[in-house]
Amino acid sequence: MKKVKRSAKRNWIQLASAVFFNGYALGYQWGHIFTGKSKMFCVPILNCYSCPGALGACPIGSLQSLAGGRKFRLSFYVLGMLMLFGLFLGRAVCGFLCPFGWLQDLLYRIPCRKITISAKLDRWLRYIKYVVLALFVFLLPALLRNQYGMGTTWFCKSPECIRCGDCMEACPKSCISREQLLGKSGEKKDI
Amino acid sequence: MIKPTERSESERRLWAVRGIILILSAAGIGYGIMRGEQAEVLKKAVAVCLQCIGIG
Repeated sequence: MKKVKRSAKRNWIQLASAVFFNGYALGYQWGHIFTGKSKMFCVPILNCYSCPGALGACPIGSLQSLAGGRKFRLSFYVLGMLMLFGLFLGRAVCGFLCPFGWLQDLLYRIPCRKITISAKLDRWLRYIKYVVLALFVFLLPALLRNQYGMGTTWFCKSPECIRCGDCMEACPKSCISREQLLGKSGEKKDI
Repeated sequence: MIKPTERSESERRLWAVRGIILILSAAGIGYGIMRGEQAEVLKKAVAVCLQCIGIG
């Protein structure tokens, strides 16, 4: 009974955290993203900064986009922040603050057969997260670059541009033109 | 016998590691700010990320 109560309390904390870190209500109303100075700071959780409500920068998104950029290959600023969060908050971040953790908790409540794995396999699978971090956040964006010296993001992005045109409307400075996306003939263009 | 106020060797080592991580994180943040990384983080976070949507 106590465990259920504690779990319910944790759910409320997770919900409050998701609302707090994505609390820019005007972004949802007007369909644009928050551009305030608070986005200079990383949030301690995985939280897409292209979300209309996001008030801070995603540390993983920042790491991979800076690794793929031309200025910096490695962001000491973001790594320092992550170390600080880890030192003072530890894995409480995953259990109490991360919206993805909350989503996983909610999905796990759906009654169905759960997959169980052996302890030995579990021990090995735990290393996958380090491989994903090193490969998709640091190495691939930093090493695979186009002719302009720009890397692409590998950890989170759509696999390819589907030319939906949403970015043309979303861009606050109208930097993306129809020709850029589709080419002058209106056919798909390799960018 | 270890007095209750004395810290054990492992505990002392743990505090040392914590101290090193704190210094490293402060140094990383400071060095990053000196290089202007915070402005780059802000720049990426306030614009719709072209890299993320696959055309940057």
